[in-house]
Amino acid sequence: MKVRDCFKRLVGVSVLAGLLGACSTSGIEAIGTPDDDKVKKHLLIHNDALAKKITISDMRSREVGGLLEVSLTLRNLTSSDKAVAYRFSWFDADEFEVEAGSDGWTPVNLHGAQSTAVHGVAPNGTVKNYRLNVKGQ
Amino acid sequence: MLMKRNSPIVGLALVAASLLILQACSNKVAYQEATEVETTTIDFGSTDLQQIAAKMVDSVLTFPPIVRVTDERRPVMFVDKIKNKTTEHIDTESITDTISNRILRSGKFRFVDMTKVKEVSDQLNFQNESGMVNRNTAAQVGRQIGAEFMMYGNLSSIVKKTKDVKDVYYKFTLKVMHLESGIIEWSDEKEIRKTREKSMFGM
Repeated sequence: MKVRDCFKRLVGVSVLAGLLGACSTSGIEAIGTPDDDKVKKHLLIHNDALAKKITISDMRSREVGGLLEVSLTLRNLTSSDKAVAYRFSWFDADEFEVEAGSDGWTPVNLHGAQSTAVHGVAPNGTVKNYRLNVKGQ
Repeated sequence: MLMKRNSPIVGLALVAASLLILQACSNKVAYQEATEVETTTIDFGSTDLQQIAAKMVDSVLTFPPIVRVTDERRPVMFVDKIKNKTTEHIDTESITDTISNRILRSGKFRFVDMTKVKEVSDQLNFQNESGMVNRNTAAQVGRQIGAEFMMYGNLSSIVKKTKDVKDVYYKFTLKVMHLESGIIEWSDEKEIRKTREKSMFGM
């Protein structure tokens, strides 16, 4: 009986380890919940589950020295800590991506119900539009 | 008798163990996005470099006194070495390369490369002294533009560890000095903190 229990546990642990390994795969992507029409055109939701936990709001922008500077708020809607990563993409008036791939994913840990502002500055003066991607870690 | 009763479980366990061993032994090479968050080890990595570069470039390009200067012209800057005050071997030139590259591509500053002074001097001598180059096309000596600003800084760290937890704190400080007056026109810091905890299975 003891041998059988031992084997059962071994199989259980193996299956659990496999499942945990599968769940740790990243790649989900969300871009928040739109607040209004102005925001909506910038936001695309690729992952409804993440969008229920993290929201993007207070999208502000201004021009500083000919460069577009933007500020957005990431808010954790849950009571538990959430590890996410964000990245800006920049586009010119013709919707061509400017300096593609130059901005890296920035990790950020949000405590339960915490909000944090994220800032970005366009790589040069040709930028007219931007996109913020947020994904789970 | 005991073995007979347990034989299906033994078989299942053996299959599971074999799969785990096969998984552990297999090698897989795959290309990844260079800007992906990298947490392979707690040591200084690509994500740290990219975070530092992004913060510093954004900060210097939007600092009001710098904005006023760069509104009218593209000042010339040179980048001094970043002092590595951490206990790790970190290629700080790679950090300044990324920062200067982004600042240059913003169109706000121009740079002189002090690591190439000897090569430039050799080439100018060759063009002007060797007699092998047409004088009409030779680059003239003494016409280089002097740098107006110098960028320099340091990277320091505080490391603490216990049996199960390691905590690393990095602080990157960067400054821009006006060479003629010696005034520091801009300075900023980027802090990064990472922790590594041993997992339940000690892996």
